Amino acid sequence: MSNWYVYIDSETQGPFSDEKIKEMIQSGKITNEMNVMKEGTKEWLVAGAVPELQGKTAPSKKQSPSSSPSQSQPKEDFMKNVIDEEGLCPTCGYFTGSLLTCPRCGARVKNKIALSVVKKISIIGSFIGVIFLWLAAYYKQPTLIKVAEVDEQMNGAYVTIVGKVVSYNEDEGKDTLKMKIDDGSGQPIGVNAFKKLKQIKQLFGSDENMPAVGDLVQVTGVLNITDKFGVSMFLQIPERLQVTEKFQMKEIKIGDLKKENIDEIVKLKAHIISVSERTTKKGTKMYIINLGDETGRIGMTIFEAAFEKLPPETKELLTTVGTEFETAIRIGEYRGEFQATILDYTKIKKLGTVEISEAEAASASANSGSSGFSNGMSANVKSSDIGDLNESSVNNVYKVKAGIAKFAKRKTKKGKDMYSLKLTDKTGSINVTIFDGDYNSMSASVKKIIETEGNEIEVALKISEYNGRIQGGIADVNSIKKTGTFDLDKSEDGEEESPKYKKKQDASEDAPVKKIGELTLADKGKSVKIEGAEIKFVSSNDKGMNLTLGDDSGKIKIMIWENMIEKIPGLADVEKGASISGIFAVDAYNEKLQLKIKNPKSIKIE
Amino acid sequence: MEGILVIAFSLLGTIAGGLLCLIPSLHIYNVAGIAIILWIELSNKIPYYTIGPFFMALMVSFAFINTIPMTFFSAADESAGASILPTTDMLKSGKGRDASVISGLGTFFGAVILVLLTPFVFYLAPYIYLPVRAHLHWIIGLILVFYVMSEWPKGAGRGKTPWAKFKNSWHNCFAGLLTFVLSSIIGLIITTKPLAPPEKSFQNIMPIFLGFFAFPSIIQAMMSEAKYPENQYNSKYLNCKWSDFGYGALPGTIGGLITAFIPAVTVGISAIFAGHITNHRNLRQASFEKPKNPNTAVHVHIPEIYYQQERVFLVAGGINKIIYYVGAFLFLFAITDLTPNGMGRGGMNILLKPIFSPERGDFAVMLATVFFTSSLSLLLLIYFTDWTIKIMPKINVRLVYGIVTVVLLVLLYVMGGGWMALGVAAATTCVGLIPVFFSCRRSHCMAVLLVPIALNMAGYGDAIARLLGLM
Amino acid sequence: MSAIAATTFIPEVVRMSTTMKLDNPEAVSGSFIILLAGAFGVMPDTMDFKLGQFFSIAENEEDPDPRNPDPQKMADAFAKAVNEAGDTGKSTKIQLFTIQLGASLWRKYNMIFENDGVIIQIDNIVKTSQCPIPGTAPKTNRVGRAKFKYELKSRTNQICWLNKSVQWMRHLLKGPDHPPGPVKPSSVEIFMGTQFEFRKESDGKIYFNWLPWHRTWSHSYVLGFMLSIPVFIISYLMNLHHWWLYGLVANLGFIVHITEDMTGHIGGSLFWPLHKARSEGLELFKASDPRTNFSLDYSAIVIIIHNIDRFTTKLITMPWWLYYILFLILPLTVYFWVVAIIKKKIQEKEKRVLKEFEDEPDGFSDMTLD
Repeated sequence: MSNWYVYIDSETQGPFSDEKIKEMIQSGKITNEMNVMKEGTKEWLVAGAVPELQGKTAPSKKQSPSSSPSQSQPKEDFMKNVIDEEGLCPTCGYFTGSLLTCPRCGARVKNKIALSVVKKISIIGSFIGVIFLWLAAYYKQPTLIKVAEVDEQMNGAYVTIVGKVVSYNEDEGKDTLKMKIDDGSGQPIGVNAFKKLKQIKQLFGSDENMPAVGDLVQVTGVLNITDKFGVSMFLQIPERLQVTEKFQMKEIKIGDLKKENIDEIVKLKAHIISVSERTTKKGTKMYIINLGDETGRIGMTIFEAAFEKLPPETKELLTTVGTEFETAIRIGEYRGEFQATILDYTKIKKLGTVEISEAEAASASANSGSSGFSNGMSANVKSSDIGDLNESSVNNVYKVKAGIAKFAKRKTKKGKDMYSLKLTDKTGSINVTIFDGDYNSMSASVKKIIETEGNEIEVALKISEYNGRIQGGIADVNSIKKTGTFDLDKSEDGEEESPKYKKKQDASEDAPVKKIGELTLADKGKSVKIEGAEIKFVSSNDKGMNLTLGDDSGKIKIMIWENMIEKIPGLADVEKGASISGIFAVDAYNEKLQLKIKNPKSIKIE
Repeated sequence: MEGILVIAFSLLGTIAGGLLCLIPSLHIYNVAGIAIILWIELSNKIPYYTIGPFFMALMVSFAFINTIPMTFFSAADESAGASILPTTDMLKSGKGRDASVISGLGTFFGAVILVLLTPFVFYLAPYIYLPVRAHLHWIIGLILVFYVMSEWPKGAGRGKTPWAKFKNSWHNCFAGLLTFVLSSIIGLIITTKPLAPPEKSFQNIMPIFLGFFAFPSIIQAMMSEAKYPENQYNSKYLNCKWSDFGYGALPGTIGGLITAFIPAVTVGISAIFAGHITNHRNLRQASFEKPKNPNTAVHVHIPEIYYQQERVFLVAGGINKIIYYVGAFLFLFAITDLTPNGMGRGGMNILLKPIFSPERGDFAVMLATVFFTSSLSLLLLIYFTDWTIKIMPKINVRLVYGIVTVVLLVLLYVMGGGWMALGVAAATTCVGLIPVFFSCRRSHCMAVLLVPIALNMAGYGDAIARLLGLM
Repeated sequence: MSAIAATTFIPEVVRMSTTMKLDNPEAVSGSFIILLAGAFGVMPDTMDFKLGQFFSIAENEEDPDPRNPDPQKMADAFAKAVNEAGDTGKSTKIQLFTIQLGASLWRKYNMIFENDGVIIQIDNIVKTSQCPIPGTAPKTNRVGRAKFKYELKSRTNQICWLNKSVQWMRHLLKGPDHPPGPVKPSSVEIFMGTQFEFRKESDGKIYFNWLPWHRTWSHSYVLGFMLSIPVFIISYLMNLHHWWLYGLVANLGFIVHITEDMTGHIGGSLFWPLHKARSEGLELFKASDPRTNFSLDYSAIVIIIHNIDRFTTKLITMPWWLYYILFLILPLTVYFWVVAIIKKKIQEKEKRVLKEFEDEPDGFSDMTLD
C-alpha cells in the first residue's frame, strides 16, 4: 500500500490511498498526462507512465491518442542530435524551456527547483534592487571637490563645486547659461547649463536672486573632461545651482579709485559726460563713453559688436549725455588709466538726468576720454632715471626729471601734427612723442615750458617700445612741471637713438648663428642669427603675418606685427619658398618655440 | 621611429586585447578602462601619437576574438543578440570552428568595408550626421518604440477565453516589458544621480553592464546541464562560400552604421533592424509543387541555401561588430570642414576623450592600423579557435566561470568603486536574469542607456529628476 | 518608417523636433512628436497581434502531438471545420497551433489546398530563423489527405460598396483580375499558429478567410481618428505649442500605415465601426516580397534625411530632384538590378533541384549539406 499525490488544477492534492486514486482514475478525474508522486519519493511521474497505475488510467481527454510516451514510436536517430529532451514536456513532448508547466497539456513538467528559485529571485530581486538603487541615490551626497584635484579618470563624475562666479553669460537665444567659477584652487571651471536658462530664472524668481559675478555659489553637476577643451561641468538640473552667499558690491566714488581696485567689481553711480565714436586700425567701430560723478571721471569703451546686440532702450540710455545710472562695473586699466566695464547691460538702473555744463563736456571730448580721470593715479607714480628705463618698464608710467635737449614739430603720415621731445638726464636720454590732441589740451604756459630747449621738467611718462627703442609718451599733461634749467650739451644733437639702446643693438649684431633645429626652450629671450631659412608657409591676418620658416634641421613659426611689415623690404608680398636671413629673438608660446623680429634692418629676404 | 612605434603599439594592443578578450564576459571597455589607468600613469614615458593605434588595436582584436567566448562559452554579452543563436546551434552540431572562423572572416570583410567606406565617411556622412544629430532623441525613441512593440507574443495562444489565450502567449511580452521598465528606471536613477565615486567615474557603467549581461550569462551557463558537444578542429576546410560575404554585406553594413551613428544602440538591436530592412529570405523560397501523388506534396528546401542563411547571419554579425566597435571609433578621425571634431561615438571615444583628441590627417594612420591589426587578429582567431576546441573538453567550464566571477567581482570592487558598485551589479543582475529565464530579448536591458539618453537629449533630464525625487 | 517619412514633410514638425536652436523663437525644441507617428504607425498591427487575435476564438482547434504528429487526423479536423460551415451555413473557424520542440526548434507543417480537399504534410524541423534542418521530416506517416463536401474559393462574392470601389481602383491600376486560382498553400512554422475562417456563400461554395482577425477593426481610418482624439485633448490640456499638430501627426501615422497595407492582398475594415466588412486589397505588392520592404524603408530614410536638412540645417545645396535621382532612384535601380540577377540564379537552381527531386522514386529526398 502506498499513498499518492496528484498535481491537479495547478495544485498538489492528496495524499490519496491506492484505492482512492484508482477510483479517481476510473472516474476520469485523473488522466494520462497528469503528474502523480508516490509518497516518500520526490519525483513527479506522469500517470500514464507509472506501471502500477498503467492500464487503469482513463483515456486522455485531449485529442491526442498517441500522446503517452509508451505509445510513441521509437525516435528516429537523426532527431537525437537535434532535439534536446531536457527542455521537453515529459508528457506530451512539447517544448517547455524555462516554464514550469507545459503550455500545451498543462502538465507540471518537473521539479525544476533551482530554476523556479532563480526565477523568483530575479523578479523579487529586481524590485528590491530598484528600490535599493533609488534609496542609494536619494541619500547620495555628491562629493565636494576642488577643481585642481580633477584628473582624467573623473570624466563623467557627479560632483559639487563651491566657488565664486568670475564670469557670467546668459544666452537668451540658446536658452543657455554659462558661468565660470573659481573655487580658489586653480583655474576657474566653466559651468554650462544648456537650454536651462529659462527654468533657472523661473526657479530663482527674480533677477536679483540669480547668481551674478562675485557671488559664492554651489553647483552640482557632471564633469566633462576632454583632451582638447579641458574640464567643464554640465549643469542639467536647475535646482542643483545654489547661491550660498550673495556678493555685496561696495559703492565707490570715481575719485576714490586706487590701483588696488583694479579687477574689482563695484557699484558705480555716475552720469554720462560725453559719448564719441572711434574707429580702430582694423576698422572696427567703438564707442568711447565718459562717465563722471562729483569726484572724477572714468572712461568706458564698448565695441560695436557688443553695442549692436543691446536692446534699443539700453543703446539710447548709453548714448544720451547726462543720463545718470547705477550699475555694476569691473575696474580695469588701459594705458595707465582706469577703465570701467559694465558687467551686465541688462542691469543698468536709470536714476535720472544731470545737466552737463558745456565746459565739462568740452574738456572731456578734447581729452578723448584719456585724461582728467587719471588724477587718481599720478600720486602713485614712481620716479625713475632715464638710464634705468628698459624693456621691463614698457607700459608703465614713470615720473622723470630731465632736461629738454630738443623740441621738434613733425607731421605724421596722415598729415597730423606731432611733436617730438628729447629728454636727457645724467643717465641717458629718451624721445617723447606728443600727439596734437595732447598738445592742444596743454595750457599756453605748459606749451612754452616744453618748447624751450634747456628747461628741466618733471613729467609722468608712459614708456613704450617702438621699433625696439624705448620711447616715452606723456601720461598726463597736467603733470608737466618746470623744475629748473638744464645745461645743454650740443654734442648729442642729432643723435637719434639713446646710447643705451645703441649698445644693445650692437650686441644683437653679434648674435650666434644657429640652425632652427638647434633652438631649445633654454634659448628663450636670446637673440640668434638665422641664415638662409626657407619660408615654408605664409598667412596674414589683421594683426600681421605668420610665417613658418624651415631649414634642413627643423621648422619654426614667426609672427610679424602689422607695423613691422613695411619696415622689412620685400616682406609684404613675400611668397612661399623665399629665403630669409637675419637676427631674431627667440620666444616661446605655450611651450612651443617661435621667433620674433629683433631688428627689422637685419632681416633680408631673397 | 614614429612608424615603428605605431606598429609596435598596435601589435601590443592586438595581443593584449586578444588574450584578455578570451576571458568570457569581460568586455573590451573594462579592458580599456584598465589600459587607460596605466596610460595615465605612464603618460610621460609613452609618446602621445601611439594612443590612437594602441586603443584601435584593442578594439579590433576585441571585435575578432570576442567571437570565441561567444561561441564556445555561449557567454552572451550585449552584442550577442546578433549571433548567439546560430553559433550555439552550430556548436551543438559540431560546427563550432566553422561558426567562429566564418564570423571572424565576416569581421575581416567588415574591415575591408570600412576601407571602402572612406569616401562615404568623408563626403556623405557629414551631411547625414549633422542634420540628424539634433534629432537623435526621437530616433532613439522610435527605435525603442519599435523594439518594444515588435516583441511579439511567443506563446501559441492556447485557451478557451480571450483572457486565457492572452495569458498563455503574453508571458514573454510581460517579461520583456518588465525588463524594459525596470532597466529604464535604473538608467534614469543612475544618470540623474550617478552613484560612482568621482575618481571611478570613467568606468561608471561597468557595474551595470556586468550586472545586466555578464553575470546572468554566467548563472545561465552554470545552471545549464548541457554537455559540451564534440567539435572538430585543425580542419583545412571551411564550410563557406564567397557569396556568403556578398549576402552578408548589406545587412552587416547597415546594421553597423546604425550602431555606429546612433548612441546607445548596440549590435543586438541594430541587427534586428538591419535584418528587418534587408530580409531577403523569401527571395529564395521555392514555391509549393502540386502533388503528383498523395505522398509527394512537399515544400522543397534547398539545403545549401538554407545553411547559407546561417552563415550569412554570422558574416553580417561580424561586419556589424567591426563597423560598430571599430568604425565608431574610426569615424572620430573623420575630420572634415563640416565635422571639425570628427563623428565618433561609442564607449571607446568617451573613455579616451580626457586623454586624447584626434587631429586632421590621423584617419589614414588609423585605417592602416585597422587593416594591419585585423589581419593579425584573424590569424589569432583561427589559432585560438583550434586551441579552445582542443582544450574545452578537458576543462571544467563551471570552474572557469567560477574563476571569471571572482575576477569580475574583484575588478568591480577595485575599478567600479567598492561596495556601491557591487550593490549596483547585484540589482542589475536580478533584472538581467529576467530575460534569460523568461525568454524575452536580452537587449531590453539596453533601455538603461537608451531611455535616459533620449530623454536627456531632448532636455527632460531635470523633469525626470523632479519626478524621481532625486534633486 | 513610411509614416515617419510622411510626417517629416510638415516643416513645423521637423522644427519642433530638432534640439538645435532655430531662428524661429517659438520653436519648441526637442519634441518627441515624431514618436507619435511611429507609435500610431505600428499600432494597427500591434493591436491585431498582441490583442485582437485573442478575441477570435475558434470552434475547432488542432494542437498536433509534438512527438508524433498525425497528418491524417489534422486533415480530418480541417475538413470537419469546412464541412461544418457548409452544413450549418454558419461561419466556423479553425485554429492550428505550432509545434515547438526546442528553444529555437519548431516542427513545420504545410496545408496544400485542392478545390475540394486539403493535404496536410508534416515537414522538416525549422529553427526560429525559419531555417529548416534537412532530413528531419518524418520518414513515415507524413502526409494526410481529406476531402471536403464543398468547394473552396479565395474571393468572397459578398461585395459591398467598399469592396466594389477597391476592385474598381484595382482594375484601374492593374487591369482585370486573373481568374481565381486554387487557394494558395499555407504553413505553420514558428511562434503563433494560424487561424482560418470558413463561410458558406450564396453560390454554395465555401469562402476561405485566412487570419480572420487580421486587418479588420484595427485597420480603420475611423478608429485612427478616434484614437487620436485623446492625443488632441492631452496636448491641448498640456498647453503644448501647436497642440493640434500632435493629434494630426498621430492620425497621419495611422492613416499611412493602413493605406500602405491596402496595396497588399488583404485590405482592411477601413470604416469600422461604420462599415464592418474587411475589404480586399489593391494587390499591387506582395507583403512578403523583400524588395518592397527594402525599397520602402530605404526611400523613407532618404526622404527623412532630406526633409530634416531642408527644414533645419540646410547643408544639402543640390536641388531636390538631383538629390532624389542621385540618392534614391540610382541606388534603387542598382538594387533591383542586382536582386533580379540573384533571383534568376536562385530560381534556376531551385528548378534544377526540383527536377532531381521529382526523379526520386519515393518522393523523399534527404538532401544533405554539400
